[in-house]
Amino acid sequence: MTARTEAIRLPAVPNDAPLPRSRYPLSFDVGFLSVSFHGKITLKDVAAAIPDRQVLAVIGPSGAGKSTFLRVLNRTLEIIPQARVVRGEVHFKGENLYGRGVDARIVRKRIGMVHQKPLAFPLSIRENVLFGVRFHQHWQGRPKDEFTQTYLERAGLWEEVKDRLRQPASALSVGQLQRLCIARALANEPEALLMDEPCSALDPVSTARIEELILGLKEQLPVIIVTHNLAQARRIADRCLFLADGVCLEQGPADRIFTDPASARVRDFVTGKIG
Amino acid sequence: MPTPEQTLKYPGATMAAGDSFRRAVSRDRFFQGLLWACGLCGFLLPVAIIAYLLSGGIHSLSRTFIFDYPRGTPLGARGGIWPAIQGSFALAALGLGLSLPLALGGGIYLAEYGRGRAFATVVRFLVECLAAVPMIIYGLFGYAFLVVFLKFGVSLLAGGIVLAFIMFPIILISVQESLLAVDDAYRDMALSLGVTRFYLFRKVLLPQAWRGMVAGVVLAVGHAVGSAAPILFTASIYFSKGGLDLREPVMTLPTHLYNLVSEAISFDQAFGTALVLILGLLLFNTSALLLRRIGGVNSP
Repeated sequence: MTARTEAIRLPAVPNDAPLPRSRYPLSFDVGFLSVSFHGKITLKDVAAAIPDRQVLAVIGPSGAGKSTFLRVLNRTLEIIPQARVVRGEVHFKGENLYGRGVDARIVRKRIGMVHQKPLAFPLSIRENVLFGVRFHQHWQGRPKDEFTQTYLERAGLWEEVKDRLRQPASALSVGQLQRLCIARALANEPEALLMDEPCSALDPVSTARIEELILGLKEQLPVIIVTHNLAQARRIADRCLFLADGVCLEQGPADRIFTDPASARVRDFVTGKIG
Repeated sequence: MPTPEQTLKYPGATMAAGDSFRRAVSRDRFFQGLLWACGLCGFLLPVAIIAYLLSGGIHSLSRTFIFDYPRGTPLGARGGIWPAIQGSFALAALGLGLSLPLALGGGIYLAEYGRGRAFATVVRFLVECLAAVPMIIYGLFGYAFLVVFLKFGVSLLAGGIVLAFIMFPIILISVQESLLAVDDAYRDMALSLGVTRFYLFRKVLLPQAWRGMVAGVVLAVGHAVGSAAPILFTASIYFSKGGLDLREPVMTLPTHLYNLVSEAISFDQAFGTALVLILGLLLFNTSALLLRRIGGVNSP
C-alpha cells in the first residue's frame, strides 16, 4: 500500500480537480468506486481525492448517493443489509480500507461519523460521551471525568451540561443532542469526521454553532459533510463534490464550483434553477 | 378573488356542523363505545374468574390446606396440597432454568446476528410452529421420548424438560420481538462508533428491551405451570407426601385439580386448589410487573 498523493487516476467525468497545493497530504483517496444496493448500482465510478484538514461538502439532489458515498468512507455501509461495494477502493492515509485483514470496526473508530438525526443512547450524558472509549480503551491514563470534559468542551456543550453529567441524555434539546453526538464521535479520537446532514433537524442558531465547530475541527482533521443546504456548503466548504444519480458530475474548490461550474447541471443546481 | 366581506357572507362558511358531519361524529362515538365494551371484557373476564374462585375456594384456604399433604378417603377429600405446590414450583423453576438461557440466546441471535439470513427466517418459522403445538402433544412426546426412550421415568426431570419445551418458543419470540422493537438508528449509531454487536447489545439494546423479555417470561411460565396435559404422563403422581427428587415424580396443582374434579373427590378442595394456582400466578405476574417498574436505572 503506497501513499498516493498527486498521482490519482482521473475520473471519467469533467473535473479539473488539480489538487490544491495543500500544506497537508491527502486523507481519502477514492478510486472508481461503485456501490450496489439490492443489486442496483447506486454509486458509479466515483473517484475523489480529499485533502487533509479541509472541509469537503458533498452536494447534489436527493437520492444521488451522497450518504452512500459517506458510508463507504468508514465502512458503515456494511451495516445496511443488501448494500455492497462492487468495485473500486478507498485509501485513507495510504491504507486500503477494504484491504485484507482490515477490521471494519477499527476503520469506524479511526473515521468518525455524525448522523442526520441526533440520538442519545439511553444512558447518562457522561456515559454517552464515554461510549466509544469504554470499548476501545484509548484512555492512556486520563481519568474519565477529564476525558468527558475534554470532549464536551470540544463540542461546545460543556458549559450547558456540566452540572447534570449523570442525568439521562434524553433530556437535552435537539441542538444539544447533536453536539453530544459530535462529542461522542470525537471522544473516539478519530482521524477524520464524516457528517451526514448534521444540521437538517436543527434551528438556525444550533446550525450556526455546529458550523462554527466544523470550522474549528478542520484545523485538526478532514471533515466531509453531506448537506442539502447550499448556503451552508458555501459558508464552510473548502472543496465540493457534486453527485447526481450516483455519478460525480464535478468536484473542486468550493468557490469555483459555486461561481463557475463546468457542468450545466451543476450550474442549474447551485444557482437554484433546479432543486 | 372574493373580498374579505364576501367571504364572511359566504353561506357555507359556518362553524356549525352539517348533517353528514354530524353523522360521522355519531358513528365515531358509536365505534368508541363499542371498543370500550370490548375493552371492558378484558377487565371483567379475569376479575369474574378470580371472584368466582374466591367465593368458592376462600373457605377451604387454611394453614393446613396449604402446608399439609392430602388425607382422607378418598385421598384428597381432606388435608392439604403442599406437595402439589412444591411440585408445580419445582417444575416451573426447572423448566425456566432450562429454557431461559436457550431462548434468550436464540432470540438475540435471530434479532441481532442472523437478521435477514435464510437460516434465521427458517428458525423463526419453526419456533412459531412449536409455539402452536397443542399441550397434549408435548405430553405425548415427553412420554415417548424422555420417559420411555431415554428412561427418565415419570419424574420431575422429564416434566421440567417438557415445560422447558413449552416455554422456549414463547420466550424466544418475545426476546426477538422486544429487540426488534428498538429503533434501528441506535444500532447504526453504536456500530458506526466501531463497537461490536455484543457491546451494542449490552449497553444499548438490553436496557431498552428487557421489559418486553420479562413479559414473555411471565407469559411462558403462566402457560406452562397452569397446564395439566404436558405433565400428566411425564411428571405427575396421584399422591406424594412432599419432598423433591429429580428422578421421582411429583404432585402438581393442575393435575391434582384434575383428579379432584374428575373423580368427584371434593369440590371444595378443588376450588381451593384452583384458587392457590391462580393466586400463585397472580403473585408471579405482580412481582414481574414491579420488577419492570422499579428496574432500569439508566432508562430514559
